Amino acid sequence: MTDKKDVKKTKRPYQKPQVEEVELVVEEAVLQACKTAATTGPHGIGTFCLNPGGQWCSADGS
Amino acid sequence: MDRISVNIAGIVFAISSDGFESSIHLARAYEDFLSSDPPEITIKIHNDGLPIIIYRDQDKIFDSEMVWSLYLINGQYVLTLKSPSSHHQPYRIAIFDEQFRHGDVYSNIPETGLADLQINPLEFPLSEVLMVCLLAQGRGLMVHACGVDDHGRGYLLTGNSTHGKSTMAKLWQDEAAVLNDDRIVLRQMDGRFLMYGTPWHGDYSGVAPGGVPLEKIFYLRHANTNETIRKDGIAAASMLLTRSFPPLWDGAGMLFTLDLCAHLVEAVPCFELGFVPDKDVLELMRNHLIQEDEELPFK
Repeated sequence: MTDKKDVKKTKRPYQKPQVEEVELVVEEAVLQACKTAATTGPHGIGTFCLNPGGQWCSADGS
Repeated sequence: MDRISVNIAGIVFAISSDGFESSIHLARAYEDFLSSDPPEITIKIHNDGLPIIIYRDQDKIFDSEMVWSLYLINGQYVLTLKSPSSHHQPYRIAIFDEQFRHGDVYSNIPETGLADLQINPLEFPLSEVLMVCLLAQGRGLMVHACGVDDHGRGYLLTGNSTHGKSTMAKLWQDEAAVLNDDRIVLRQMDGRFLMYGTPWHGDYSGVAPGGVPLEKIFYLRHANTNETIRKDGIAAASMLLTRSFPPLWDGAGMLFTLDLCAHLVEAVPCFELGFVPDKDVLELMRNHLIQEDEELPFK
């Protein structure tokens, strides 16, 4: 029989809607650059990302 | 014909190749994501050059201004990958239907080194942009975060670059399963928020598929002492949004994303976590969790 009371107790007070401006880190939010792209270069074996101009990136998981 | 299936965040992708020139070879990080389940998304790989596409400004949906652009042309999404070193010309093009369920990926392969060539057709940024597009259709949200599965308790440690995600992954590596140190997917399934790893890691290379219930969100920052500050409401939702990969080009997707962020921070306790890089912080996070569990109104 305590359910209703408990529910009331935990209910959040009404918050008026408001506009909040947030600042994105654009280059990260829109996937502009691979974090590990610095490793780009020729490699012998393995799995590579193909980069323009025939360069390879061995960043695993990229 | 080669075919590989992977399950990332509960979405099964089947990738097939017509066998021309080279086979499909995903990065090592995909090994734990291999799947035999029926695919939700099918992708066919073509390594024999790019299709001729006439790009018109009115068809452009989004331009990252660096490495990728998205167009909607005749009911199909066209994702073009380019870079300054390709003189901003596409070197790979992916064409998907309007639901991003079926796609073709075309690549220009350099003539040298073909014998040793192993192509990762999902290389950055294709896989991640595709995931963002799919999640925006009511599936979930990808977050810039490290995810930890602490024996069934999921901690999301989120932050932008240099905030300490990889550092945290290294601190947790002997204590719990690290799902990923850089890209984590959050989904609401059967009324619970679940946290999934992805193959797209940062400096720490350990990954795992996950699917663990999300218990707590930490917004990371480096500090001189370990401390937590409770965040809720708009502040918590804003901090999550600014550490996520929102579908900025998709109005309906953005509404879904904002709604998801709001629900997430209501259902899951959020904390700003200042930390020094030693293992003391792990116990703080665990103990904090237990203490807070007793007080949370939304558990």
